[in-house]
Amino acid sequence: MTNHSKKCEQNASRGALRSILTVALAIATTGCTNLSAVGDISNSLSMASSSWNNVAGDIAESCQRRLAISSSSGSCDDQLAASQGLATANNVLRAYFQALGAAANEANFSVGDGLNEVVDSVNAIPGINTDQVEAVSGIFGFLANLGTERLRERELRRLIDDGAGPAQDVIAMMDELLVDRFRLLLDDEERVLNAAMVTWINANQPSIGTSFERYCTSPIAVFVNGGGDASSYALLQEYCGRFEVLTERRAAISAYEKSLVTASQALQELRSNRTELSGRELAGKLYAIGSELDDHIGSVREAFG
Amino acid sequence: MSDTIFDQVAELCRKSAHASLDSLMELGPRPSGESEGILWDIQARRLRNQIDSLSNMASDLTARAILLDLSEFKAEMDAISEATKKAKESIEQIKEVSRKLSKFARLLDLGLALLALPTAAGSLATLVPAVSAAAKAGRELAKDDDGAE
Repeated sequence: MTNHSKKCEQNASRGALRSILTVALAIATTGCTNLSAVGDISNSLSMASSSWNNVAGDIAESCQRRLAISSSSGSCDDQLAASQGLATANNVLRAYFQALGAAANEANFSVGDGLNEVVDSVNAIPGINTDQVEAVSGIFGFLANLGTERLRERELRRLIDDGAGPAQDVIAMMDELLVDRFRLLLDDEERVLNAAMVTWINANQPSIGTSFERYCTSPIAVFVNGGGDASSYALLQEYCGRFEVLTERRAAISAYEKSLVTASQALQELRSNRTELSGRELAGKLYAIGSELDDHIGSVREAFG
Repeated sequence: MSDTIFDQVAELCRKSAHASLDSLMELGPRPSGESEGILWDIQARRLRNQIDSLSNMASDLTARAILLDLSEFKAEMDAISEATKKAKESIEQIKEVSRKLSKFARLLDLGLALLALPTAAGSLATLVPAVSAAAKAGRELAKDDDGAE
C-alpha cells in the first residue's frame, strides 16, 4: 500500500468519524435532555406515599389504643377497613410514582455498560486505533441513549397526561376529607383517655388534681410531695405516655397534611411543564419541592418511630 | 370536610360525649362518706360508659365516612392504575428498543474498528493476528447478543 492510499483511507475513516461527531453534536445541542429532576421528585413522591401508610394505619391503631382503656366494649372493624382502604389508595399512588421514576431514570435504559464490554475486545485487535474505537463507541452509546431518552420523555408526558390529574384529585380528597377526620379520631381517643384519667384521679388521687400533666415529666419525689401516692406513680406515667403518643400523632397529621399539599404541587409542576420536562427551570422547582417534601416525610416518619 | 350522614351523627355523638366528660369533671373528688361515695361511683361509672360508648360510635361512624369518600374516588384510582399499567408496558418496550440500539451500536463499533484496521496493519505478519483478534471480538459480540435474546 502506498503512502498516498494509506492517507486516503485514514482521511476517509476520519471523515466518517467527523460526520458522526457532527450529527451527535447537532442532536446534543438541539435536544440534550436530562430527566433526573423528574426521577428525583418521583422517588420523593414514592417515599411520601409510603409514609402516608403510617397515618392510614393509625386509624385502626388509635381505635385499639382507645379500646384498651375504654370501659365499654367495641370493635375496630370499621377503622381497620378504613385503614386498609386508605393503604390501597396509597399503594395505587405509589405504583404511579414509581412508574414515573422508572421512566425518568436513565439507569433503567442505559446502553453504555453493554458497549464497554465489546470495546475491550475490539481494543485487543493488534494495530487498532484505540482512541478512535473509544470515541466511536462513545458516540453510538450517546446516540442510543439520546434516542431512548426521547422515548422515555414521550412516555412520561403520556403518564402525566393520563395519571397526574386523577392523582391530584385523590391527594386533594385525602387533604380535604381525611385530615380533619383523623384529628376527630384522635379527639375520641383523647376524650376516653381523659375520662379514665379524671375518674382515677378523683377516686384515688384527688390531692394531685386533674392538672396532672405537670407530674408527667417530674420525678416521683415531686409527685409524692404534691400529695400523690408513690404506688400510683407508674400508672400516672402510663397515662402520660399515652398523652405523649397523642401529641406526636397530632404533629404527624400536620406534617402529613403539608406533605399532601407539597405532593400535589409537584404533580401540578409536572402537568404545567409537561412539554419541558428536562428544562432547568422545572428542575429547580422540583428540587425545591422535593426538599420540602422530604422534610415533611421525615416528620411523619419520626412521629411513628 | 364533606358532610355525610355518618359525619352528622358522629358529630352529635361527640357533642354528647364531651358534655358527659364535663359532667364527670364536675363530679369532683370522690366523697369519703360511704353512701355519698357509692353514689359518686355509680354516677362516675355511668358517665364514663356514656363517654366511651359515644366515642366508640363516633369513631365507627367517622371510619365509615372515610370508606364512603374513598369509594367515590374509585374512578380516579382506576385511571391512575390504568395509566401505571400502560406505562409499565411502554417502559418494557423502551427497554427492548434500548437493547436493540445497543446491539446496533456494537455492530457499528466493530465495523468501524475493522475499517480502521488496514491503516496500521501494513504486513502479513501483523494482519493475521489482527484478523484473528477481530474474529474473536465478533464471536464475543454474537455470543453476547444470543445471550441477550
